[in-house]
Amino acid sequence: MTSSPTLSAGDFLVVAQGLCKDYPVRGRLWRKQWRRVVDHVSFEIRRGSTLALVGESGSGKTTVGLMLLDLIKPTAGQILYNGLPYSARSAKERRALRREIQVVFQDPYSSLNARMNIREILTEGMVIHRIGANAREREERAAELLRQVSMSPDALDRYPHEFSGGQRQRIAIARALSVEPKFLVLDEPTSALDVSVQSQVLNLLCRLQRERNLTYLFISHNLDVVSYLAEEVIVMERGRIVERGAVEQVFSDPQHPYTRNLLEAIPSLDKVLAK
Amino acid sequence: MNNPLLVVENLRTYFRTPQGLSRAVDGVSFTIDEGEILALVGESGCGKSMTALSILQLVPEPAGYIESGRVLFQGEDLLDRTWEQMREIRGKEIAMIFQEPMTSLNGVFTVGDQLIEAMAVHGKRGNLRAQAIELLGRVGLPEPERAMRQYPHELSGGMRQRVMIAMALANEPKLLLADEPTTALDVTVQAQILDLLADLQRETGMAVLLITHDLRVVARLAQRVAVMYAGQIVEEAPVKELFQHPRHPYTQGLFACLPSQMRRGKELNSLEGVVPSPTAWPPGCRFAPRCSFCWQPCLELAPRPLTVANRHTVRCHLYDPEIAPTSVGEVRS
Repeated sequence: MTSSPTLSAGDFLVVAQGLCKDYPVRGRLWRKQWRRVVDHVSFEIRRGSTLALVGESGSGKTTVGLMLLDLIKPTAGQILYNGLPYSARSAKERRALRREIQVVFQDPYSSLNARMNIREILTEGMVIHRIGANAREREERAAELLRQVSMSPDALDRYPHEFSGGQRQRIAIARALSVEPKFLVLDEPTSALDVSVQSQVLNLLCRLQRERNLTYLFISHNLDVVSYLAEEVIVMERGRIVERGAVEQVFSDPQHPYTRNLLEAIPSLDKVLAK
Repeated sequence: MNNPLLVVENLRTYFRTPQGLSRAVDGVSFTIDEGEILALVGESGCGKSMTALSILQLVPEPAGYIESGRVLFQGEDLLDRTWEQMREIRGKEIAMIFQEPMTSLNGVFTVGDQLIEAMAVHGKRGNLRAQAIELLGRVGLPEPERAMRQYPHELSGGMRQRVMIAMALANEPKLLLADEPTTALDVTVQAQILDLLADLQRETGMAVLLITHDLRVVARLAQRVAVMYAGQIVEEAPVKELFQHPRHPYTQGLFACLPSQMRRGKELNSLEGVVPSPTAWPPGCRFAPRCSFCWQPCLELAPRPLTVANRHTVRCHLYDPEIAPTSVGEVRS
């Protein structure tokens, strides 16, 4: 299960063991039928590294992300965070876990509450997790977060609709960072953005990872983004892992036909320019 | 080849907005030859979709209107046509497919009904059902007869886009306007749809205006590419030429923004600043406020399109011998 013999269990922040998820589907009368959308998925993520989860719609990659976020329960298997399974934690510990694990979604238009201003969006998590002694201190932290994502603190009093897609995604990242997480699930964080905005967000994610030693699960179907950002990659097809390994290795020498298919589908920029 | 099918000259499409006049398309000129695939590339809000809608006179009214310009299709100006006359052209001579096939298909009619209607409207006769089934087979639907009876929601995104393409091709158009035809699809499906478009283009000899923001899609399908920024075409060249020698600082910036394995660990280029508002384009070059090569003339004088290589034009003062000091021009090329 371990990808390299020199690594010990303590090197991994997140370990998924045999994760399965079944969803009910319309079956015959009186008989509930189940469909397995995630099928025995196991992986480990090293601290401070990025694991990419690649696959097409329906491959189960977002479901894996939701299980890591403790938003849905796996049908079978378990997730270890810092060596301890989610299920072995008390309710209080699980709440603390929610602080350490944060998420950035694909669509910055629907992931921010339109009725809250940026101050409320950025301080809500701090209030819940008791970060910052008082409102003023939390506001100072919120302003600092905006500066970290290269936005002006003037934004605090404004509402999400006043910002462009790229700015909203930066606000969504600032919101995730507001509770000082260690692990971020990034579910297609740049696929709704223009390329010039995407590059800004990718630069930001790289910088934040370096500065804060964050660990990322990066869910994406854009192989160029994955090859730029991640160290390791898992390729999923219909709920199963069909290939995994270091990015360089998987991309230069894909073993599974599905991975080859994906890589050949849309040529990467490197290949286009080399032509 | 080399017979111009569509010539767009100095097209200007404006919108009246509460913020003032929005010049969404502002002096766009390009040519598509018979049987050619031209890609129109640019980021959101650059006016590429509105250019396509203007060709078909589908600009949302009353806010939007075509201020001036000519759209010569087979030598005749489409902008002189009445709405009724345009209905004859839309879907027959010039067809269009959109990004989201779910919203473009009618959810309460079967695929077959819609396809047959598209043919009947333009006066197709004979066994339309058989023709529809053949079309669905041609765009790669595995069970065309079954698909005829299905509703759009029963099909996957890729299959719906195939139905849209079948509908667009039903009357053998001479020109297909494809607005982000694969953006909403999975990568392997994207590749299938792009291959399908390429095959159909070869078989039927139709011309395609491919509108996209994805340079990789351009590389896969198009022969020529025009880059749009702020309502204007800033650079135009054959695909290989543009990819190997992008000249306009905006085009160069776009390429430098793209992540790839070779750029791992390096900071990606980010075009500083934002696209100016179409209600207030900067005087002079519209890219000047974000351009790292900007100097005095860029802020004052609008650059003109210059031919820098065979079939390669660029709208930038750096290449204008009358404006740029020779030393700058040499450094740039």
